[in-house]
Amino acid sequence: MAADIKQLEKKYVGKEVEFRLLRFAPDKDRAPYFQSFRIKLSQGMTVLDALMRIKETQDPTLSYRKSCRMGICGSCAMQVNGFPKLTCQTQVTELNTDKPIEVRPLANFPILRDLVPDLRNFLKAHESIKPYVIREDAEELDHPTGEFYQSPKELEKYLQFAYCIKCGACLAACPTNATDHEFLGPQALAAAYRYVADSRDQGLEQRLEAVDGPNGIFRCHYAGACSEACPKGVDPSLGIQLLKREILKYRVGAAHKKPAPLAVTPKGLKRREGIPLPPEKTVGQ
Amino acid sequence: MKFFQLEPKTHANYLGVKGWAYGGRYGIERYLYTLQRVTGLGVLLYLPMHLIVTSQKLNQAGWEQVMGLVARGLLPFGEFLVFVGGVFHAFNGIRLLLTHFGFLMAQPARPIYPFTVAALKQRWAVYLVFVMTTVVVGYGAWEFLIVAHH
Ligand code: SF4
Repeated sequence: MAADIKQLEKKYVGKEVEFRLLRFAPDKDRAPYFQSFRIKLSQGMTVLDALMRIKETQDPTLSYRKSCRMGICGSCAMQVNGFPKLTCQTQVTELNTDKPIEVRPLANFPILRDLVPDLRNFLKAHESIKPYVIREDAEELDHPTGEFYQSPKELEKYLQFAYCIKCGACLAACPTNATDHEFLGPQALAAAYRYVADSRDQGLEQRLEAVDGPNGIFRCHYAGACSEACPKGVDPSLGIQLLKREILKYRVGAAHKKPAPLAVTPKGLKRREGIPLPPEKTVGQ
Repeated sequence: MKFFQLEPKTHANYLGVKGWAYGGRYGIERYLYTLQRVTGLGVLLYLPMHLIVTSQKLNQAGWEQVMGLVARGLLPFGEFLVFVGGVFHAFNGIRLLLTHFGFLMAQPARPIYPFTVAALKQRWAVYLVFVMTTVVVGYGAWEFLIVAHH
């Protein structure tokens, strides 16, 4: 292993690589154009590191979004050689360094400047599916007196979809988004399933207006590209198909969902010796 | 306090029809997505032409003349292509219908790196579509291109 790393280092560190970056300044450019930069690779360099190096040493006007630099914030998704990727998680050595590496802003989003996509419609779509637990006992949500029951098995049903970091890579990969600009998109639809599958939620009906409209869930024809592009393993296309099933069940009157009840502390039980006390309650005191 | 928001000038960046048609480095389902829609359109375009031709009120001689016209040149091969498209569309359509309603889908699982997408777990359905299409098309090719011309 160590020998492999030494070999890689020898092959790449110090190698000069060309980056072709899409540039667009809305105040002076009529259309985007490519600009090339050459930099020397350093050890463990990601595409985002390369962009930062270019900005620091060659062109301070280069614009891109980034924050955490470790695949958590979802800010730095871009098209790298035509494929949507989190640039902070893409090692330059994964790519063919003998050819210029092309970096563009995420496809299917308008360009604000250089590599910065306009995420406003994307975030509006997410908001439209009501991304929060909806229950008939709204009073309990506003002024909680306890926790809702949820078994580990129930948690598994939606947990995968809760890992979404809203990077937008799935929309850049989606062929329906490429032509239907109003399509809700894989992220919002998978997020809708995340809540519908949550045992505490009763909001399917309230979400239908956004989810099952003319540009909604049935415009998805299962190309699966969103799932391949997702850097967090969310598998939005899986969530979307499962949500279609929930909608079908609802439409034929077969959706019977009882939301998880409040967990009640059993009374009259005696703690066995040696079992530590639970932590202090944080709600409902 | 009231803030006003400036409407930023942006540049459209949709991949458009090219992005819709080109599957790039994505998996086989991405290509089937395009193929399903192209074959659907092909069958849809063929249907009115077929209806127009076959709904003519003709006597036997007229009918045979029309049939002679459509049996010329590349037209039988074109018809065969519509048949291939139709067969693929039907089998793939069944796979998609089952998928859309979650029947062929794997269950959600914790995303542990390296991630496997659910589509991979139902690849067998894609292969089954190919096998079924090949069997029916093979039989059709025999009927269309060999038996019908002897
Ligand atoms: S589903 Fe995946 S690709 Fe889509 S926004 Fe969420 S994390 Fe990004």
